[in-house]
Amino acid sequence: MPTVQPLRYAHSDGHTDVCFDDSGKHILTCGTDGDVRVWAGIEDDDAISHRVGDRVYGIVYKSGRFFTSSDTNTIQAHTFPDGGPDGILTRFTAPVNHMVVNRSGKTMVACSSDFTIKSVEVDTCSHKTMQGHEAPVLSVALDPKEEFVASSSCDGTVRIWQHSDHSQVTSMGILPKTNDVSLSKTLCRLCWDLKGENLFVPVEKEIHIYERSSWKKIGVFQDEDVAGVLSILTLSPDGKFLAVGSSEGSILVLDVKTRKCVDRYKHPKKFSVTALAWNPKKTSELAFCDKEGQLGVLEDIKLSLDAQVLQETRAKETLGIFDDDDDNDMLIQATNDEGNMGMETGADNSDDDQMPIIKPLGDIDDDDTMSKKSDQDDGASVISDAPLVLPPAPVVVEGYKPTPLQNPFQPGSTPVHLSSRFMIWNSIGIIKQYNTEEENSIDIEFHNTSIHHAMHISNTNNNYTLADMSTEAVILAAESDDDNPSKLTCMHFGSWDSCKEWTTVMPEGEEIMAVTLGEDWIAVATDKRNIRLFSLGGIQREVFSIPGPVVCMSGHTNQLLLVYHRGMAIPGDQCLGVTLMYVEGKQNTVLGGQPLPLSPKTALAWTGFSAEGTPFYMESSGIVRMLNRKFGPSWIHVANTKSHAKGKSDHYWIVGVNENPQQLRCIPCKGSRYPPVLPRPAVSILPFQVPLCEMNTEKSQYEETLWRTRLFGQHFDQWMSQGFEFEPSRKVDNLKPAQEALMKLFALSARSDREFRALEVCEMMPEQHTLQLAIKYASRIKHMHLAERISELAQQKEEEAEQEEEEVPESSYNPAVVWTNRNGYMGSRPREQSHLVQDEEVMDEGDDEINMEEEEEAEDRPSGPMLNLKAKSDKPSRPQFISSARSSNPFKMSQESQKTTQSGGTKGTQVFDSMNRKKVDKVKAADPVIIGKPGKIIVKPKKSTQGNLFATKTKTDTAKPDTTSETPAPQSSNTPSAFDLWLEKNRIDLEEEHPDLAEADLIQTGAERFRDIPREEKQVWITKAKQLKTENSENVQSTDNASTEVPTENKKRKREETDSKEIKDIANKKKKDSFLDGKKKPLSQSTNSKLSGFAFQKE
Amino acid sequence: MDTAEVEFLAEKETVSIVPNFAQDKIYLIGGDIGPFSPGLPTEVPLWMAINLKQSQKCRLTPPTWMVVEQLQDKKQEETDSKFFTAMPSSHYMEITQLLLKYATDDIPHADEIRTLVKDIWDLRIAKLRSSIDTFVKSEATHAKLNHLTLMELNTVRPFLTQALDQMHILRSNMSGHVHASQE
Repeated sequence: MPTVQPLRYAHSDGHTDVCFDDSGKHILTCGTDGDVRVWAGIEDDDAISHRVGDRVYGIVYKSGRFFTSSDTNTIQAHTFPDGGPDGILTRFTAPVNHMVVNRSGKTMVACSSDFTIKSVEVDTCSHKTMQGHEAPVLSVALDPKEEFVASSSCDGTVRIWQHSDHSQVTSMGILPKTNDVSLSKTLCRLCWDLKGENLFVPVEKEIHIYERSSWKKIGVFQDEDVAGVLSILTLSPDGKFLAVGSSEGSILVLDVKTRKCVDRYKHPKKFSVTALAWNPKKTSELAFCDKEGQLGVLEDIKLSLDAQVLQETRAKETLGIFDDDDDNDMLIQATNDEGNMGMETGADNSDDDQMPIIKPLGDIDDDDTMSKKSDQDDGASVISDAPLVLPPAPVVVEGYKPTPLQNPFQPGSTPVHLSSRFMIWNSIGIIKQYNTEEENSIDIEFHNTSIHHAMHISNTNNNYTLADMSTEAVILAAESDDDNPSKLTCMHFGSWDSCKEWTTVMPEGEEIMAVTLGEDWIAVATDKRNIRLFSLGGIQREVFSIPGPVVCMSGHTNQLLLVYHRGMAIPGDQCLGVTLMYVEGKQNTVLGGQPLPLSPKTALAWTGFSAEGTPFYMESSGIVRMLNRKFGPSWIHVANTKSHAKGKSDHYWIVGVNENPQQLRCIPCKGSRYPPVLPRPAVSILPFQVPLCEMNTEKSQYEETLWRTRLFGQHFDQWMSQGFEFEPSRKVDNLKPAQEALMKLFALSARSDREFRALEVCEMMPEQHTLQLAIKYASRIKHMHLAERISELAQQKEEEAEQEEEEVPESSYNPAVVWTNRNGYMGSRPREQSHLVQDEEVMDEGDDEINMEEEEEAEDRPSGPMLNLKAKSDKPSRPQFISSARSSNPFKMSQESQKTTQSGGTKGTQVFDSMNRKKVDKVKAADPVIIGKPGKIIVKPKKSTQGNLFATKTKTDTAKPDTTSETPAPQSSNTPSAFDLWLEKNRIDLEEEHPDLAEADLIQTGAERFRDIPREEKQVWITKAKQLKTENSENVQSTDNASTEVPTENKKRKREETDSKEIKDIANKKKKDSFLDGKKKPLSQSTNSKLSGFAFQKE
Repeated sequence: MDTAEVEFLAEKETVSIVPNFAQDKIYLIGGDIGPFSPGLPTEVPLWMAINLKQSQKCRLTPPTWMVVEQLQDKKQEETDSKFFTAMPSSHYMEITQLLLKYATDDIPHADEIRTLVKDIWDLRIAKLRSSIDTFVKSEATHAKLNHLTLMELNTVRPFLTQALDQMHILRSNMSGHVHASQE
């Protein structure tokens, strides 16, 4: 693209013509205002005007004189530069449209609207007329050899005349016909090439090229991008280029030889170009005028052959592959294309008109910092671009543009330029700074007023801008001003002496850029890249240097987190380094200047520690990352605050992080990045979420919970390594969700037949008992293969654990740590039994939906004790659970269910049977209690149903505990004696007689009464009891249960016989609370009393 | 039921406070409250919020609806609607009253809010009166009004029920008289 000075007003609206003087220093224009102006270059603000007539149609300069054609229908000669009239050359009967002078300046050819062309001898003023056109003649062109004259006319013809005898040689009707020059779209300025070999004629959007003497069309130039009709052709003085102007403001420069467009320009307002003139001394300069009377000059037209050659050679150098000459055309083509492209964009942003300057690659080497890397990058880009885009244009090197460095900031502060701002907002409190004309003060307030009361200090003298606060102290720092050096003030309100404040001044020329407070130290970062450590009392402790300008610092207990600029980065990004170190203690550096991961084109927005001491940071895109000490250490994306923002311009301003409970404390800022001081913003809490894939699926949600919980439980290990003490139960509680997620994940995988995946989940399970649960679950849902695999895994794990136990010396052995190391999981092994239940529930919960259909089946199945697990014993038990888990069912209700147990009783299925749904179990479990004999209920050990369940579960080998727990009746007999039978029958009567008696007393009375009854009657009861006994013994044989269970069975029978109706009632309820409901039913009084007895016992 | 009782009920509504002290969960019959950590908003019952505020242990965060724009919209809606509209809180009047009494400094544009809430209240009471008027005049046996708050009901309940009783007695006397005379 050529450079163009803004167009200048030269003449009033209308046809305007332009030419250069021979020296190329002056531009002459003429227009409809009748003036000729002489410009000393385009920037001349004081052009000389010469009055020529009312209108001037054309102007030509030749050797110290210029000729104008005016409305007087004459061609007037003028002297240059004073513009005085120098005689009339010739006269026409109509305005002269165009005139040309031959090279020597001897002959002028002019054409006029009176249909004639005249050839004038300038010296003699003698002229010859060429007549033949049937309409106003638009333009003429004299053959350089002065043999022919070409003319174009409104009659639509281009005619060639013999100059010598003024006869017409040929006529070509190729133009559109019009009546008048003013109506013609085209001015059809013809042009010969330098040697007169060819004639160029602008026809519509094309340029026709005619061969001399044969007058045959030998070529056509066409350009699709040209707007309007081509109208003006002008050959450059050296004859190599042809300037073309169109009726809609396009100007092209063509290479005559190649007939390609080398450069182009578009009139900003698309006014028709009425004249073009090359600067005779500077081929890269072209003056033009438009029909609005404006003058423009195109400079630096990209045409000089040198430039092109240069480009070509450069292209060859770079590309290397394009060695053939054939390719040159391609390159030129490409160059042209590039020109086209430039043109399109150029219309949009005129600033970019200039071709980018090609910088030698070597220049870059001067820059030390960029060194090799950037060089390579550049090279790479060229190479990668080359095959795709043929033009050598990509050679153009834009150079490395480093991203502006982020300024240092205080995490949790708002920008300094605000008149009221937060100097800091952290978990301890808020420091606000007011910096208005009337007020310049600092407000310090604590979230917890028990730490310290709020303070208000004046800031007029000090101009503090940086601040930090802890539970012990507040530090303020100021940059240096005219006469005061940068200084640090510490308000140590936690001090027990009376001097609570001290101030330290930085060395001359050193500015404090960031400050932070730890437990009992202060860190100050300066622009000299020093980090100065002070104690809280003001002792200077350490001074060390960091490798780049500091960005921010954060402190927590004894940890110091430093972020600084590390070097140059990929354009748009920053390269930040992070150092995490212990100010005190053994282990000094955790992160030693590793790059801080930032999302593309973001800046750091906040850094800090969670309340538990894990480093976190937020970038300007709202992504929060935390340090994962276990994996790397690496940084892991744990939240995206932006995803919670309602609007696009809403942001969250982070003020604190808690790991336990997981809280990201933020202030929502509507439409800004920073919260205003007033009204006081409210803190809101955002959840964390590790960005796993497919977060809408159940699986991913469990996985997310698992990993997030583990991640946020890491601080316990950190604490342990730092020697902090904490209650182990906290850790266990904290990790519970992970445990649950793991179980659910297992259940999910198993249910969806992803056995391999389920096994993988099992591998992550840190504890034996969860593995055993998994085995049970797997077998319950009939994934036998999986169950086997898991049991193998369990065995393997157990062995490993034992091995390690042997290897590790006892003193330093910590099972939790071992597990952690091996599994990356921080579960602690010792667990209480209650966890078993919980996990079981978890699995069941996860099961709920899918198990719905199973439910019916489950109801029918025999109910066994839920778990046959042993409580975590002192010695880890070998996984013999299958055999040990032999299920027996002490609560069998019906014969039918018993059968199913027996039929399915192969191998380990008993275990699986026991994995019935919890709910069902509860119901069944309640039954035996109800059916217990009333007399025995009284003395039943006090246990809740739940408690009972577990009591039985823990001893599953036999059902003994159940019976014992139920039947330590006063008679201490397992078989109902005659007395029992009698008592049951007569109990109601007894109760009615002695309503005030306690149960024990009642039995006592009953016993006495029984003794008193007649012998015969007694006998009846005794036989009854005997009968029962025999039945029981039969039962013993028929069931494979332990013999001790007999009485229970027996009781059931008995109950079935006597209270069948009640059984139905209760069975219908099938609820744990059925006894309560049952009360409301019209049950017999005995049942009532039984139930109330139970209810009472339950309390 | 007098207004004090209604206010007492309203005190069970929860509001958000920012405590300036640390305290574990408080276990109360009505439910657990807390934990309180300084600087973090916590939901507590209104009575506790006011108590804490009075002892300068917290800052109150106004309920989300206690914003001038929202109340203006509400007022407009109430004006435009022929019927009662749903209020942002069933105890809006009491909560506003209490918060503005004890925590004016924590509520931005307290005066405007006071006026707006009072306006809404007046609008609704006027509506209530006019609907009672039509109810009585039309001698209907029952009527239904939606979205009335307890406090609003309480303003008319004692009088309305008594008046209706009285009118009923008068009417039945009258009709009884007529009846008797006819006999």
